Amino acid sequence: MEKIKSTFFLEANNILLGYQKDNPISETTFSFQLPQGAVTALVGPNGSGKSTLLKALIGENSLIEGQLFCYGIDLKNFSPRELSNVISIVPQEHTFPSELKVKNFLELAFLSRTGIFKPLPSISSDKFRPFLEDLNLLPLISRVLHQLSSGERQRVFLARALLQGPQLILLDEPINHLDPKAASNFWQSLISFRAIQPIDILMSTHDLGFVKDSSDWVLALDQGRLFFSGPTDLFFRDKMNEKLFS
Amino acid sequence: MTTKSKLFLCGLFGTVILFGLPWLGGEAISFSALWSHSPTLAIDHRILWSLRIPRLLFVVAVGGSLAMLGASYQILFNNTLAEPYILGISSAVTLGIVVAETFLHLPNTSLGALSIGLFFSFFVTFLLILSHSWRTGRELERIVLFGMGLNFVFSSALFLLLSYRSQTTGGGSLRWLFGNIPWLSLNESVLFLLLTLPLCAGLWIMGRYLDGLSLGDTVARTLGFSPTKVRCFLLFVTSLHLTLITSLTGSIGFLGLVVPHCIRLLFRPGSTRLLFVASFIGGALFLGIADSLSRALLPPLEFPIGIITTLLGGPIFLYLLWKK
Repeated sequence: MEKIKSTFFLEANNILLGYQKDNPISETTFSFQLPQGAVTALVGPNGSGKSTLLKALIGENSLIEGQLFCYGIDLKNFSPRELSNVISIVPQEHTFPSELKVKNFLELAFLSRTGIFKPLPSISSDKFRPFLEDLNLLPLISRVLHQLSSGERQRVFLARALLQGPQLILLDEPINHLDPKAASNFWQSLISFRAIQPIDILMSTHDLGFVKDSSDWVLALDQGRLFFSGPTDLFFRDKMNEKLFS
Repeated sequence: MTTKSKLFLCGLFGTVILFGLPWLGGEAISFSALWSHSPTLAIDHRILWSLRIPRLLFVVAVGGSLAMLGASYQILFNNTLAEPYILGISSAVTLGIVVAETFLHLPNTSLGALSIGLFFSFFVTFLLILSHSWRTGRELERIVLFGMGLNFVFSSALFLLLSYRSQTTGGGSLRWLFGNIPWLSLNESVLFLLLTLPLCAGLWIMGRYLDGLSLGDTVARTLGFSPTKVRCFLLFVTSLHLTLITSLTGSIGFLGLVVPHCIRLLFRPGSTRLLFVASFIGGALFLGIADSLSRALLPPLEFPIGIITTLLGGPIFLYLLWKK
Protein backbone atom coordinates (compact mmCIF):
# COMPACT_ATOMS: atom_id res chain seq x y z
CA MET A 1 0.00 0.00 0.00
CA GLU A 2 2.80 2.38 0.98
CA LYS A 3 4.51 1.71 -2.29
CA ILE A 4 1.47 2.54 -4.39
CA LYS A 5 1.02 5.73 -2.42
CA SER A 6 4.47 6.95 -3.23
CA THR A 7 4.48 6.31 -6.97
CA PHE A 8 2.07 9.15 -7.78
CA PHE A 9 2.57 12.77 -6.91
CA LEU A 10 -1.05 13.47 -7.65
CA GLU A 11 -4.15 11.32 -7.68
CA ALA A 12 -7.60 12.67 -8.39
CA ASN A 13 -10.51 10.61 -7.15
CA ASN A 14 -13.91 11.42 -8.75
CA ILE A 15 -13.32 15.15 -8.73
CA LEU A 16 -15.64 17.89 -9.91
CA LEU A 17 -14.16 21.34 -10.52
CA GLY A 18 -15.78 24.77 -10.28
CA TYR A 19 -16.00 27.89 -8.14
CA GLN A 20 -19.64 27.69 -7.11
CA LYS A 21 -21.14 24.54 -5.66
CA ASP A 22 -24.25 24.76 -7.83
CA ASN A 23 -22.31 25.59 -10.98
CA PRO A 24 -19.50 23.10 -11.71
CA ILE A 25 -17.56 23.32 -14.98
CA SER A 26 -18.73 19.87 -16.04
CA GLU A 27 -21.52 17.47 -15.09
CA THR A 28 -19.44 14.33 -14.62
CA THR A 29 -16.64 13.57 -12.19
CA PHE A 30 -13.26 12.21 -13.26
CA SER A 31 -10.14 10.56 -11.88
CA PHE A 32 -6.49 10.38 -12.89
CA GLN A 33 -3.06 9.49 -11.53
CA LEU A 34 0.17 11.34 -12.29
CA PRO A 35 3.42 9.37 -11.81
CA GLN A 36 6.30 10.79 -9.80
CA GLY A 37 9.50 11.71 -11.56
CA ALA A 38 7.86 12.76 -14.80
CA VAL A 39 7.38 16.29 -16.12
CA THR A 40 3.63 16.54 -16.54
CA ALA A 41 2.06 18.95 -19.00
CA LEU A 42 -1.47 20.12 -18.29
CA VAL A 43 -3.15 20.98 -21.60
CA GLY A 44 -6.59 21.85 -22.86
CA PRO A 45 -8.53 24.62 -24.60
CA ASN A 46 -9.47 27.80 -22.72
CA GLY A 47 -12.08 27.08 -20.07
CA SER A 48 -11.16 23.41 -19.86
CA GLY A 49 -10.39 23.67 -16.15
CA LYS A 50 -6.58 23.87 -16.20
CA SER A 51 -6.32 26.91 -13.92
CA THR A 52 -9.19 25.64 -11.80
CA LEU A 53 -7.28 22.42 -11.15
CA LEU A 54 -4.10 24.32 -10.26
CA LYS A 55 -6.10 26.53 -7.89
CA ALA A 56 -7.64 23.46 -6.26
CA LEU A 57 -4.11 22.21 -5.61
CA ILE A 58 -3.11 25.33 -3.69
CA GLY A 59 -6.22 25.27 -1.56
CA GLU A 60 -8.59 27.67 -3.27
CA ASN A 61 -12.16 26.50 -2.99
CA SER A 62 -12.40 25.20 -6.52
CA LEU A 63 -12.86 21.52 -5.75
CA ILE A 64 -16.58 20.81 -5.47
CA GLU A 65 -16.52 17.04 -5.12
CA GLY A 66 -14.03 14.20 -4.78
CA GLN A 67 -10.53 14.09 -3.38
CA LEU A 68 -7.08 15.13 -4.51
CA PHE A 69 -4.23 13.11 -3.05
CA CYS A 70 -0.82 14.69 -3.11
CA TYR A 71 1.91 12.10 -2.46
CA GLY A 72 -0.80 9.86 -1.05
CA ILE A 73 -2.23 12.41 1.41
CA ASP A 74 -5.61 14.06 0.98
CA LEU A 75 -4.97 17.75 0.23
CA LYS A 76 -7.83 18.68 2.58
CA ASN A 77 -5.69 17.46 5.47
CA PHE A 78 -2.79 19.78 4.65
CA SER A 79 -2.38 22.80 6.88
CA PRO A 80 -1.20 25.94 5.04
CA ARG A 81 2.25 25.32 6.51
CA GLU A 82 2.36 21.70 5.30
CA LEU A 83 1.08 22.70 1.89
CA SER A 84 3.86 25.26 1.55
CA ASN A 85 6.48 22.61 2.25
CA VAL A 86 5.11 20.33 -0.49
CA ILE A 87 3.88 22.66 -3.26
CA SER A 88 5.15 25.93 -4.66
CA ILE A 89 3.93 27.86 -7.67
CA VAL A 90 5.17 30.10 -10.46
CA PRO A 91 2.03 32.09 -11.25
CA GLN A 92 1.04 33.24 -14.70
CA GLU A 93 0.76 36.85 -13.61
CA HIS A 94 3.61 38.47 -11.73
CA THR A 95 2.33 40.39 -8.73
CA PHE A 96 4.84 42.29 -6.56
CA PRO A 97 5.34 45.70 -4.94
CA SER A 98 6.82 47.99 -7.57
CA GLU A 99 10.01 48.88 -5.66
CA LEU A 100 10.83 45.38 -4.41
CA LYS A 101 14.38 44.15 -4.98
CA VAL A 102 15.10 40.65 -6.32
CA LYS A 103 17.01 39.86 -3.12
CA ASN A 104 14.07 40.68 -0.84
CA PHE A 105 11.67 38.91 -3.15
CA LEU A 106 13.69 35.69 -3.09
CA GLU A 107 13.99 35.76 0.70
CA LEU A 108 10.20 35.59 0.98
CA ALA A 109 10.52 31.98 -0.18
CA PHE A 110 11.66 31.19 3.38
CA LEU A 111 8.59 32.75 4.99
CA SER A 112 6.73 29.50 5.59
CA ARG A 113 9.67 27.64 7.10
CA THR A 114 10.95 30.58 9.16
CA GLY A 115 7.61 31.93 10.36
CA ILE A 116 7.13 35.52 11.46
CA PHE A 117 9.12 35.56 14.68
CA LYS A 118 12.60 34.68 13.42
CA PRO A 119 14.64 36.69 10.91
CA LEU A 120 14.58 35.44 7.31
CA PRO A 121 17.82 33.83 6.09
CA SER A 122 19.85 36.15 3.86
CA ILE A 123 20.03 35.13 0.21
CA SER A 124 23.47 36.74 -0.01
CA SER A 125 25.00 34.10 2.24
CA ASP A 126 27.45 31.63 0.71
CA LYS A 127 24.99 28.81 1.17
CA PHE A 128 22.83 30.06 -1.72
CA ARG A 129 25.65 31.17 -4.00
CA PRO A 130 25.86 27.95 -6.05
CA PHE A 131 22.10 27.97 -6.49
CA LEU A 132 22.10 31.56 -7.74
CA GLU A 133 25.04 30.84 -10.04
CA ASP A 134 23.29 27.82 -11.54
CA LEU A 135 20.23 29.91 -12.33
CA ASN A 136 22.42 32.77 -13.53
CA LEU A 137 20.79 35.15 -11.06
CA LEU A 138 23.85 36.65 -9.33
CA PRO A 139 23.89 39.76 -11.56
CA LEU A 140 20.21 40.40 -10.88
CA ILE A 141 20.23 40.07 -7.12
CA SER A 142 20.29 43.76 -6.16
CA ARG A 143 18.11 44.99 -9.01
CA VAL A 144 14.51 46.09 -8.68
CA LEU A 145 11.96 43.54 -9.92
CA HIS A 146 10.02 45.82 -12.20
CA GLN A 147 13.16 46.80 -14.11
CA LEU A 148 13.83 43.22 -15.22
CA SER A 149 12.82 41.81 -18.60
CA SER A 150 9.96 39.28 -18.58
CA GLY A 151 12.44 36.47 -19.15
CA GLU A 152 14.64 37.52 -16.23
CA ARG A 153 11.65 38.03 -14.01
CA GLN A 154 10.24 34.62 -14.85
CA ARG A 155 13.56 33.05 -13.81
CA VAL A 156 13.45 35.01 -10.56
CA PHE A 157 9.93 33.75 -9.90
CA LEU A 158 11.13 30.21 -10.63
CA ALA A 159 14.04 30.67 -8.23
CA ARG A 160 11.67 31.82 -5.47
CA ALA A 161 9.48 28.77 -6.00
CA LEU A 162 12.51 26.45 -5.91
CA LEU A 163 14.03 28.08 -2.81
CA GLN A 164 10.81 27.26 -1.00
CA GLY A 165 12.04 23.66 -1.15
CA PRO A 166 8.91 21.93 -2.46
CA GLN A 167 8.42 18.38 -3.73
CA LEU A 168 6.09 19.58 -6.46
CA ILE A 169 6.33 22.79 -8.44
CA LEU A 170 3.34 24.17 -10.35
CA LEU A 171 4.02 26.29 -13.42
CA ASP A 172 1.08 28.25 -14.79
CA GLU A 173 1.76 28.99 -18.48
CA PRO A 174 5.49 29.34 -17.76
CA ILE A 175 6.66 30.41 -21.23
CA ASN A 176 3.59 32.30 -22.36
CA HIS A 177 5.16 35.75 -22.60
CA LEU A 178 8.73 34.68 -23.31
CA ASP A 179 10.66 34.76 -26.58
CA PRO A 180 12.25 31.43 -27.66
CA LYS A 181 15.61 32.27 -26.12
CA ALA A 182 14.19 33.34 -22.77
CA ALA A 183 11.91 30.29 -22.78
CA SER A 184 14.86 28.00 -23.37
CA ASN A 185 16.88 29.74 -20.61
CA PHE A 186 13.98 29.31 -18.24
CA TRP A 187 13.61 25.63 -19.01
CA GLN A 188 17.35 24.96 -18.83
CA SER A 189 17.46 26.54 -15.35
CA LEU A 190 14.74 24.22 -14.17
CA ILE A 191 16.28 21.13 -15.76
CA SER A 192 19.72 21.83 -14.29
CA PHE A 193 18.18 22.27 -10.85
CA ARG A 194 16.22 19.06 -11.28
CA ALA A 195 19.39 17.16 -12.13
CA ILE A 196 20.68 17.87 -8.63
CA GLN A 197 17.45 17.72 -6.70
CA PRO A 198 14.51 15.62 -7.89
CA ILE A 199 11.30 17.58 -8.07
CA ASP A 200 7.94 16.91 -9.72
CA ILE A 201 6.64 19.39 -12.23
CA LEU A 202 3.07 20.10 -13.26
CA MET A 203 2.81 22.84 -15.85
CA SER A 204 -0.17 24.21 -17.72
CA THR A 205 0.60 25.37 -21.24
CA HIS A 206 -0.90 26.09 -24.65
CA ASP A 207 2.32 25.45 -26.49
CA LEU A 208 2.12 21.90 -27.86
CA GLY A 209 5.62 22.06 -29.35
CA PHE A 210 6.90 22.78 -25.85
CA VAL A 211 4.84 19.87 -24.50
CA LYS A 212 6.36 17.54 -27.06
CA ASP A 213 9.94 18.64 -26.32
CA SER A 214 9.87 18.93 -22.57
CA SER A 215 7.22 16.73 -20.95
CA ASP A 216 7.01 13.00 -20.25
CA TRP A 217 3.36 12.85 -19.34
CA VAL A 218 0.29 14.69 -20.59
CA LEU A 219 -2.86 15.45 -18.62
CA ALA A 220 -5.42 16.84 -21.06
CA LEU A 221 -8.68 18.38 -19.88
CA ASP A 222 -11.65 19.40 -21.95
CA GLN A 223 -14.75 21.22 -20.64
CA GLY A 224 -13.89 20.40 -17.05
CA ARG A 225 -13.47 16.66 -17.74
CA LEU A 226 -10.58 14.33 -18.30
CA PHE A 227 -9.68 13.98 -21.96
CA PHE A 228 -6.38 12.12 -21.76
CA SER A 229 -3.81 11.11 -19.19
CA GLY A 230 -0.77 9.19 -20.38
CA PRO A 231 2.76 9.33 -21.74
CA THR A 232 3.54 12.24 -24.07
CA ASP A 233 4.55 9.89 -26.95
CA LEU A 234 1.15 8.27 -26.83
CA PHE A 235 -0.62 11.62 -26.81
CA PHE A 236 1.04 12.70 -30.05
CA ARG A 237 1.09 9.23 -31.67
CA ASP A 238 -2.65 8.87 -31.29
CA LYS A 239 -3.16 12.42 -32.58
CA MET A 240 -4.90 13.33 -29.33
CA ASN A 241 -3.62 16.88 -29.76
CA GLU A 242 -5.67 17.32 -32.95
CA LYS A 243 -8.79 15.82 -31.40
CA LEU A 244 -8.45 17.98 -28.28
CA PHE A 245 -8.41 21.26 -30.15
CA SER A 246 -10.83 20.35 -32.98
CA MET B 1 25.11 53.54 1.50
CA THR B 2 22.62 50.74 1.99
CA THR B 3 18.92 51.36 2.43
CA LYS B 4 19.14 50.29 6.05
CA SER B 5 21.95 52.66 7.02
CA LYS B 6 20.30 55.54 5.14
CA LEU B 7 17.08 54.82 6.98
CA PHE B 8 18.90 54.58 10.28
CA LEU B 9 20.58 57.98 9.84
CA CYS B 10 17.36 59.68 8.74
CA GLY B 11 15.47 58.01 11.56
CA LEU B 12 18.02 59.25 14.08
CA PHE B 13 17.85 62.76 12.65
CA GLY B 14 14.05 62.66 12.68
CA THR B 15 13.94 61.51 16.28
CA VAL B 16 16.26 64.33 17.34
CA ILE B 17 14.00 66.89 15.64
CA LEU B 18 10.98 65.25 17.22
CA PHE B 19 12.39 65.66 20.70
CA GLY B 20 13.23 69.26 19.95
CA LEU B 21 9.62 70.08 19.16
CA PRO B 22 8.47 70.75 22.77
CA TRP B 23 10.83 73.72 22.84
CA LEU B 24 9.08 75.33 19.89
CA GLY B 25 5.94 77.35 20.53
CA GLY B 26 4.54 80.64 21.76
CA GLU B 27 6.66 80.70 24.91
CA ALA B 28 10.45 80.36 24.72
CA ILE B 29 11.46 77.73 27.24
CA SER B 30 14.85 77.04 28.73
CA PHE B 31 16.25 73.60 28.10
CA SER B 32 17.06 73.01 31.75
CA ALA B 33 13.36 73.35 32.57
CA LEU B 34 13.19 69.66 31.69
CA TRP B 35 14.60 68.68 35.07
CA SER B 36 15.04 71.92 37.06
CA HIS B 37 12.67 72.72 39.91
CA SER B 38 14.13 76.17 40.60
CA PRO B 39 11.42 78.84 41.17
CA THR B 40 12.54 80.89 38.13
CA LEU B 41 11.87 77.94 35.86
CA ALA B 42 8.75 76.69 37.62
CA ILE B 43 6.40 77.96 34.91
CA ASP B 44 8.61 76.65 32.12
CA HIS B 45 8.74 73.32 33.90
CA ARG B 46 4.98 73.15 34.09
CA ILE B 47 4.44 74.19 30.48
CA LEU B 48 6.86 71.52 29.37
CA TRP B 49 5.59 68.67 31.52
CA SER B 50 1.87 69.30 31.57
CA LEU B 51 1.36 70.70 28.07
CA ARG B 52 4.09 70.19 25.52
CA ILE B 53 5.57 66.79 26.39
CA PRO B 54 2.18 65.09 26.78
CA ARG B 55 1.20 66.60 23.46
CA LEU B 56 4.38 65.36 21.83
CA LEU B 57 3.80 61.82 23.12
CA PHE B 58 0.25 61.90 21.82
CA VAL B 59 1.30 63.27 18.45
CA VAL B 60 4.00 60.58 18.12
CA ALA B 61 1.46 57.85 18.86
CA VAL B 62 -1.14 59.26 16.47
CA GLY B 63 1.17 60.26 13.62
CA GLY B 64 3.18 57.05 13.76
CA SER B 65 0.07 54.90 13.94
CA LEU B 66 -1.72 56.64 11.08
CA ALA B 67 1.29 56.29 8.78
CA MET B 68 1.65 52.62 9.65
CA LEU B 69 -2.06 52.00 9.15
CA GLY B 70 -1.93 53.75 5.79
CA ALA B 71 1.02 51.60 4.73
CA SER B 72 -0.71 48.41 5.82
CA TYR B 73 -3.98 49.28 4.03
CA GLN B 74 -2.06 50.01 0.84
CA ILE B 75 -0.58 46.51 0.94
CA LEU B 76 -3.63 44.78 2.37
CA PHE B 77 -5.89 46.01 -0.41
CA ASN B 78 -3.18 46.13 -3.07
CA ASN B 79 -4.22 49.71 -3.74
CA THR B 80 -1.78 52.63 -3.83
CA LEU B 81 -4.56 55.10 -3.04
CA ALA B 82 -5.69 53.33 0.12
CA GLU B 83 -5.55 55.33 3.34
CA PRO B 84 -6.80 54.68 6.89
CA TYR B 85 -10.14 56.42 6.39
CA ILE B 86 -11.12 54.58 3.23
CA LEU B 87 -13.23 51.86 4.82
CA GLY B 88 -15.69 53.95 6.79
CA ILE B 89 -14.43 52.84 10.19
CA SER B 90 -13.39 56.32 11.21
CA SER B 91 -16.61 57.95 10.03
CA ALA B 92 -18.55 55.30 11.95
CA VAL B 93 -16.62 56.07 15.15
CA THR B 94 -17.09 59.79 14.65
CA LEU B 95 -20.78 59.37 13.95
CA GLY B 96 -21.16 57.26 17.09
CA ILE B 97 -19.53 59.91 19.23
CA VAL B 98 -21.42 62.79 17.66
CA VAL B 99 -24.68 60.88 18.14
CA ALA B 100 -23.79 60.41 21.81
CA GLU B 101 -22.90 64.08 22.09
CA THR B 102 -26.01 65.40 20.36
CA PHE B 103 -28.77 63.13 21.58
CA LEU B 104 -27.48 61.76 24.88
CA HIS B 105 -25.62 64.95 25.84
CA LEU B 106 -22.50 63.02 26.79
CA PRO B 107 -19.16 64.86 26.58
CA ASN B 108 -17.21 63.58 23.58
CA THR B 109 -14.35 62.29 25.71
CA SER B 110 -16.60 60.46 28.16
CA LEU B 111 -16.48 56.70 28.41
CA GLY B 112 -20.12 56.49 27.30
CA ALA B 113 -19.53 58.41 24.08
CA LEU B 114 -16.38 56.42 23.36
CA SER B 115 -18.18 53.11 23.84
CA ILE B 116 -20.90 54.14 21.42
CA GLY B 117 -18.19 55.10 18.93
CA LEU B 118 -16.52 51.74 19.52
CA PHE B 119 -19.82 49.95 18.98
CA PHE B 120 -20.37 51.73 15.64
CA SER B 121 -16.83 50.88 14.57
CA PHE B 122 -17.20 47.19 15.46
CA PHE B 123 -20.41 47.07 13.49
CA VAL B 124 -18.60 48.34 10.38
CA THR B 125 -15.59 46.06 10.94
CA PHE B 126 -17.92 43.10 11.30
CA LEU B 127 -19.67 43.95 8.02
CA LEU B 128 -16.31 44.36 6.27
CA ILE B 129 -14.95 41.05 7.49
CA LEU B 130 -18.20 39.38 6.56
CA SER B 131 -18.07 40.87 3.06
CA HIS B 132 -14.55 39.51 2.68
CA SER B 133 -14.89 36.02 4.08
CA TRP B 134 -18.35 35.35 2.67
CA ARG B 135 -16.79 33.87 -0.43
CA THR B 136 -13.15 33.22 -1.22
CA GLY B 137 -11.01 36.33 -1.31
CA ARG B 138 -10.90 36.43 -5.06
CA GLU B 139 -12.21 39.96 -5.38
CA LEU B 140 -10.16 42.31 -3.30
CA GLU B 141 -11.78 45.35 -4.85
CA ARG B 142 -15.11 44.32 -3.41
CA ILE B 143 -14.08 44.86 0.17
CA VAL B 144 -12.64 48.30 -0.66
CA LEU B 145 -15.74 49.31 -2.60
CA PHE B 146 -17.93 47.96 0.18
CA GLY B 147 -15.95 49.98 2.73
CA MET B 148 -16.16 53.09 0.56
CA GLY B 149 -19.92 52.62 0.33
CA LEU B 150 -20.15 52.39 4.10
CA ASN B 151 -17.94 55.44 4.37
CA PHE B 152 -20.32 57.46 2.16
CA VAL B 153 -23.34 56.39 4.18
CA PHE B 154 -21.73 57.16 7.53
CA SER B 155 -20.16 60.45 6.53
CA SER B 156 -23.43 61.67 4.97
CA ALA B 157 -25.20 60.83 8.22
CA LEU B 158 -22.41 62.66 10.06
CA PHE B 159 -22.70 65.76 7.85
CA LEU B 160 -26.46 65.75 8.30
CA LEU B 161 -26.12 65.55 12.06
CA LEU B 162 -23.38 68.19 12.20
CA SER B 163 -25.33 70.67 10.10
CA TYR B 164 -28.43 70.06 12.21
CA ARG B 165 -26.35 70.62 15.32
CA SER B 166 -24.62 73.74 14.06
CA GLN B 167 -28.07 75.30 13.64
CA THR B 168 -29.22 74.36 17.10
CA THR B 169 -26.09 74.61 19.22
CA GLY B 170 -23.51 76.02 16.81
CA GLY B 171 -19.83 75.19 16.27
CA GLY B 172 -17.72 72.22 17.22
CA SER B 173 -17.94 70.55 13.83
CA LEU B 174 -14.52 71.37 12.45
CA ARG B 175 -12.91 69.16 15.05
CA TRP B 176 -14.57 66.09 13.57
CA LEU B 177 -14.29 66.99 9.92
CA PHE B 178 -10.68 68.10 9.81
CA GLY B 179 -9.17 66.47 12.84
CA ASN B 180 -7.95 67.93 16.07
CA ILE B 181 -5.25 67.18 18.64
CA PRO B 182 -6.79 67.31 22.10
CA TRP B 183 -4.81 68.56 25.13
CA LEU B 184 -4.20 65.50 27.28
CA SER B 185 -2.52 65.25 30.65
CA LEU B 186 0.81 63.46 30.96
CA ASN B 187 -0.85 60.39 32.43
CA GLU B 188 -3.47 60.28 29.69
CA SER B 189 -0.96 60.55 26.88
CA VAL B 190 1.33 57.94 28.44
CA LEU B 191 -1.69 55.64 28.71
CA PHE B 192 -2.56 56.33 25.09
CA LEU B 193 0.99 55.58 24.03
CA LEU B 194 0.94 52.34 26.03
CA LEU B 195 -2.27 51.34 24.25
CA THR B 196 -1.10 52.15 20.73
CA LEU B 197 2.50 50.92 20.87
CA PRO B 198 1.58 47.22 21.34
CA LEU B 199 -0.82 47.55 18.40
CA CYS B 200 2.01 49.03 16.32
CA ALA B 201 4.34 46.25 17.45
CA GLY B 202 1.73 43.64 16.52
CA LEU B 203 1.31 45.20 13.11
CA TRP B 204 5.09 45.21 12.70
CA ILE B 205 5.25 41.48 13.43
CA MET B 206 2.44 40.82 10.96
CA GLY B 207 4.42 42.86 8.42
CA ARG B 208 6.00 39.70 7.10
CA TYR B 209 2.59 38.28 6.21
CA LEU B 210 1.90 41.52 4.39
CA ASP B 211 5.08 40.90 2.40
CA GLY B 212 3.59 37.54 1.45
CA LEU B 213 0.22 39.07 0.57
CA SER B 214 1.88 41.65 -1.64
CA LEU B 215 2.91 38.81 -3.99
CA GLY B 216 -0.74 38.11 -4.77
CA ASP B 217 -3.03 35.49 -3.29
CA THR B 218 -1.89 32.70 -5.60
CA VAL B 219 1.67 32.80 -4.32
CA ALA B 220 0.63 33.77 -0.78
CA ARG B 221 -1.42 30.57 -0.50
CA THR B 222 1.77 28.54 -0.86
CA LEU B 223 3.70 30.56 1.73
CA GLY B 224 2.32 28.80 4.78
CA PHE B 225 -0.67 30.92 5.79
CA SER B 226 -4.24 31.52 4.71
CA PRO B 227 -4.47 34.92 2.98
CA THR B 228 -8.16 35.29 3.84
CA LYS B 229 -7.63 34.57 7.53
CA VAL B 230 -4.63 36.88 7.78
CA ARG B 231 -6.54 39.63 6.00
CA CYS B 232 -9.53 39.27 8.33
CA PHE B 233 -7.27 39.30 11.38
CA LEU B 234 -5.42 42.39 10.17
CA LEU B 235 -8.70 44.07 9.33
CA PHE B 236 -9.85 43.51 12.89
CA VAL B 237 -6.64 44.72 14.54
CA THR B 238 -6.21 47.77 12.34
CA SER B 239 -9.85 48.72 12.87
CA LEU B 240 -9.37 48.62 16.62
CA HIS B 241 -6.23 50.70 16.28
CA LEU B 242 -7.92 53.23 14.03
CA THR B 243 -10.94 53.45 16.33
CA LEU B 244 -8.70 54.25 19.26
CA ILE B 245 -7.13 57.12 17.35
CA THR B 246 -10.17 58.52 15.58
CA SER B 247 -12.23 58.59 18.75
CA LEU B 248 -9.86 61.26 20.10
CA THR B 249 -8.69 63.10 17.00
CA GLY B 250 -11.36 62.86 14.30
CA SER B 251 -10.02 62.45 10.77
CA ILE B 252 -6.53 63.81 10.18
CA GLY B 253 -6.34 63.72 6.42
CA PHE B 254 -3.55 62.86 4.01
CA LEU B 255 -0.97 61.68 6.54
CA GLY B 256 -1.71 57.97 6.16
CA LEU B 257 -1.67 58.25 2.40
CA VAL B 258 1.32 60.45 1.87
CA VAL B 259 3.87 59.36 4.48
CA PRO B 260 4.26 55.70 3.37
CA HIS B 261 4.52 56.83 -0.26
CA CYS B 262 7.21 59.36 0.57
CA ILE B 263 9.11 56.66 2.48
CA ARG B 264 8.83 54.30 -0.49
CA LEU B 265 9.96 56.93 -2.98
CA LEU B 266 12.84 58.12 -0.82
CA PHE B 267 14.20 54.86 0.61
CA ARG B 268 12.71 51.89 -1.24
CA PRO B 269 12.54 49.78 1.93
CA GLY B 270 12.98 46.10 1.10
CA SER B 271 10.37 44.79 3.50
CA THR B 272 7.09 45.85 5.01
CA ARG B 273 8.66 45.85 8.46
CA LEU B 274 11.25 48.38 7.40
CA LEU B 275 8.50 50.40 5.74
CA PHE B 276 6.54 50.29 9.01
CA VAL B 277 9.42 51.52 11.15
CA ALA B 278 10.26 54.32 8.73
CA SER B 279 6.58 55.25 8.37
CA PHE B 280 6.14 55.41 12.12
CA ILE B 281 9.02 57.85 12.53
CA GLY B 282 8.02 59.78 9.41
CA GLY B 283 4.39 60.01 10.48
CA ALA B 284 5.30 61.12 14.00
CA LEU B 285 7.65 63.78 12.63
CA PHE B 286 5.14 64.95 10.04
CA LEU B 287 2.32 65.29 12.54
CA GLY B 288 4.64 66.87 15.11
CA ILE B 289 5.70 69.58 12.66
CA ALA B 290 2.14 70.08 11.40
CA ASP B 291 0.92 70.42 14.98
CA SER B 292 3.57 73.01 15.84
CA LEU B 293 2.66 74.92 12.69
CA SER B 294 -1.05 74.79 13.41
CA ARG B 295 -0.43 76.59 16.69
CA ALA B 296 2.46 78.81 15.64
CA LEU B 297 1.02 80.31 12.44
CA LEU B 298 -1.42 82.76 14.02
CA PRO B 299 -1.30 82.38 17.80
CA PRO B 300 -3.40 82.07 19.83
CA LEU B 301 -5.51 80.71 16.95
CA GLU B 302 -5.18 76.96 16.49
CA PHE B 303 -5.98 75.62 13.02
CA PRO B 304 -7.56 72.18 12.66
CA ILE B 305 -4.60 69.85 12.27
CA GLY B 306 -6.04 68.04 9.23
CA ILE B 307 -5.99 71.24 7.17
CA ILE B 308 -2.31 71.72 7.93
CA THR B 309 -1.38 68.10 7.18
CA THR B 310 -3.15 68.30 3.84
CA LEU B 311 -1.62 71.68 2.93
CA LEU B 312 1.80 70.37 3.92
CA GLY B 313 1.53 66.84 2.56
CA GLY B 314 -0.11 67.57 -0.78
CA PRO B 315 2.73 69.62 -2.28
CA ILE B 316 5.43 67.26 -0.90
CA PHE B 317 3.66 64.34 -2.47
CA LEU B 318 3.22 66.10 -5.83
CA TYR B 319 6.88 67.11 -5.80
CA LEU B 320 8.07 63.57 -5.14
CA LEU B 321 5.85 62.21 -7.90
CA TRP B 322 7.09 64.89 -10.28
CA LYS B 323 10.74 64.12 -9.53
CA LYS B 324 10.52 60.37 -10.07
